[in-house]
Amino acid sequence: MIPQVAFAHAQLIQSGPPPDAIMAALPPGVELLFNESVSPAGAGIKVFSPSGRQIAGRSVSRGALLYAPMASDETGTFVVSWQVLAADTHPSRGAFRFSVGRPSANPYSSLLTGGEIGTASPLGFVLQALARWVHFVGFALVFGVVGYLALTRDKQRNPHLVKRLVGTGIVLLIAAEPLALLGQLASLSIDTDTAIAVLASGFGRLLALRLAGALLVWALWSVESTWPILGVGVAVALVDGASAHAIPGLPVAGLLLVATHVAAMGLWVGGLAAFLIVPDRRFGRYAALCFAVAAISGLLLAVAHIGLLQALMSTAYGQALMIKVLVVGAVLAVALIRRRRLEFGVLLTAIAAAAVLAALPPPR
Amino acid sequence: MRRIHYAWIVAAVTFIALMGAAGFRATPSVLIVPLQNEFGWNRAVISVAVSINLILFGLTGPFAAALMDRFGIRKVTVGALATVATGALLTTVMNAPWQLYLLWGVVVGLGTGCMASVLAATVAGRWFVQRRGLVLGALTAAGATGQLIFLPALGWMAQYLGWRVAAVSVALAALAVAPIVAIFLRNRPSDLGLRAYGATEADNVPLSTGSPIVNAFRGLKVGVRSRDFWLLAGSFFICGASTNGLIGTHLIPASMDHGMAEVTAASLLAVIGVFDVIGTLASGYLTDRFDSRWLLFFYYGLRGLSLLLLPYVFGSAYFGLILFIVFYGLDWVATVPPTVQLARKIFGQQNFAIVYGWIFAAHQLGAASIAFAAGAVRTVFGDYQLAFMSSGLLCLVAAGLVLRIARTRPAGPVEEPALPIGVEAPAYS
Repeated sequence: MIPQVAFAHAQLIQSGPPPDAIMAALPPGVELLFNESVSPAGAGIKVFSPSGRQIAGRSVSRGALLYAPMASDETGTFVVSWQVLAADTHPSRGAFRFSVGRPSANPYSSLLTGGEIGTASPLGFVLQALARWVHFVGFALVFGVVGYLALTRDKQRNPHLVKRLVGTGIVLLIAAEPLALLGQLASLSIDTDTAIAVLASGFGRLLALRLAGALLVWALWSVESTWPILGVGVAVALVDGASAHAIPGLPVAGLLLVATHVAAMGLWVGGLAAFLIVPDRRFGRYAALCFAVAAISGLLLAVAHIGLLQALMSTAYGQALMIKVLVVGAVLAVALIRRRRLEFGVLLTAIAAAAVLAALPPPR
Repeated sequence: MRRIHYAWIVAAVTFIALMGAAGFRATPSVLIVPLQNEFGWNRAVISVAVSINLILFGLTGPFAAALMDRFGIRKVTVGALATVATGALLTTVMNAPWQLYLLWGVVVGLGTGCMASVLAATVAGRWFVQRRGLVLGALTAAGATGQLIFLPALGWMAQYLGWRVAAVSVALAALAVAPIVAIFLRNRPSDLGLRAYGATEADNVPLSTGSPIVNAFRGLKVGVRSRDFWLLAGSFFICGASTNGLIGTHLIPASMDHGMAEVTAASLLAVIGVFDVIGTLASGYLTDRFDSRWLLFFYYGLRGLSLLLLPYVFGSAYFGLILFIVFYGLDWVATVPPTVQLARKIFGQQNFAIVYGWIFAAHQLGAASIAFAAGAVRTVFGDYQLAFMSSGLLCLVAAGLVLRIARTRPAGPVEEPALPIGVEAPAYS
């Protein structure tokens, strides 16, 4: 399931000095050209001299170009290590070397094998997917359960367990964010500089907005006001839309589609969880409606991202999508035979598949 | 023909004193850049002085309240004005960071601390029964008005005449206010044979005896036993962190980092002040009418959201910045009237001033810690976004805290202690 090949977005196209070049004198700086706009993550570019000193100055980016000045009078092999954030906040990093005069040993040459150009680490990928899973489950437990309460207008029957569900959801929503940050850092490097850079990027702002949603729900839940919480849910779904993969050429449509998809999923899954505790006959139709909306929006998203049938089979994204469709199919089958608990369990698996999808880059 | 109630004259004089005090306190924010230029002190050094000032300004509160109970409002306020004037005058001859810490930090901090929110709460509490929230709002807005008048003027002076002229002007202003306070300010309605505005009975608060310091700590003891005290203090900590600490101290440098001229940046803060006056007056009015907890929830919630949007605002369209300023200005200190109101309901008319003093101390503690943290963030990482974002999130935590106040029991007065703090039980005779 976890591909070994490159799956991060920003890829290094060209560099000056080029990898493995042997030059007469040290150029005044390192210049990297990527396949899309980037911003430096943490230090951005680091250059280690043959004696192991870091000789690069502050990195600056302009569009797809990243530049850092450097100065040293040593000769031998220099190791360049870079880490960047793509426009959609996905991280990538890499390293290469070049030599001045003749090649020599470099204490940092282990960086060269640490990661291929343009890859994120498997651990980072797993954490990112886990963070999204926790977020989606939290989203469902909070907004789905509250939505169910609004639908059935019944706070009195068995309120304690239902309250616990929402409380758990709030905890999950909050816990997802440090996980997401950790996932981002694990793909780059786990140090304070990088953490600051990641938090100061668009990723950090979206993270803050998701946390804001969770905290607002925590505040409003103390007086159990239903409709304002659902309003916050719409906002969180929109933020999820903004942090998902953009559909090339149609950013707003993509955002709205993802938001609709997430919201419908949340109402369905959370509603089911509440239904298990406080059954209500009205749930059947409500669930069917949520499912239909989720399915249609999901279908449109899939078409927008995959486009060709070929990509469905040949890319990791396509494979994960197929698995998700199969799992959702299973959910539907279980729903038809009315085994609600099983349905809920399989749904959590479907959300896991969705989380993997969100962490993978769509084929372009 | 009915004569104007003396309570309004007391309120007006208090307004002037509070206005001056706020102006004096706002001065360090326009001094950051000139001091950096003249002495080469970095922003972290100046942040330390600002933090000391904020901490002492806050910690003075409960002691000032106890002093006012013991010696009266008038003496305490006149003494405070003299202290501020001394401190401001002496800064003109300083040449080392420790002198900045001592003068702006300690001396001016203590002086202005006696003319702070506690003074407003005490005056509104003693002189008004009807319209108490509105008067409290007006007195709190005095702070914003003071900044409004002093900040652009001081910013202009600092830029064109040098920062020393600005410091001397502060001292002169403090000396000018002192005689007005000495003549017109009175301690309590019964001193003039009056009742508080809208009161049906004369006040008969016994004079406090014993050491004001001991009394201040007795107030703290009353507070820390109560869950609501911690909720109020916690939310007020966040309030201070997100207003005085972050925006008050750092908005101007942050704007200048984004290429704004100093005067323009200072007037930015002044515009916040205008909306602050409107917002705080409105808040006082609303406090007389609505559940203070929901008012606070909206204030903190809106503030948190506007802080989270701030990183999008800088470097983007002017429109966004203006929107932020309006939004943010409206609830800058709008939180004070509902918080005082809740404190009075929970801790009772006799004791709330000292307890509120401690809650206000939490406010300043928050302001100081964030002022320092944001300065450090800026010095080390070159970016404010983190500081803005995290205090935005903290505001939302505060929004959650205030809704939980007095939920375990009715929101009315809970346990009115038999006797006010600092008043001895009458001996049998």
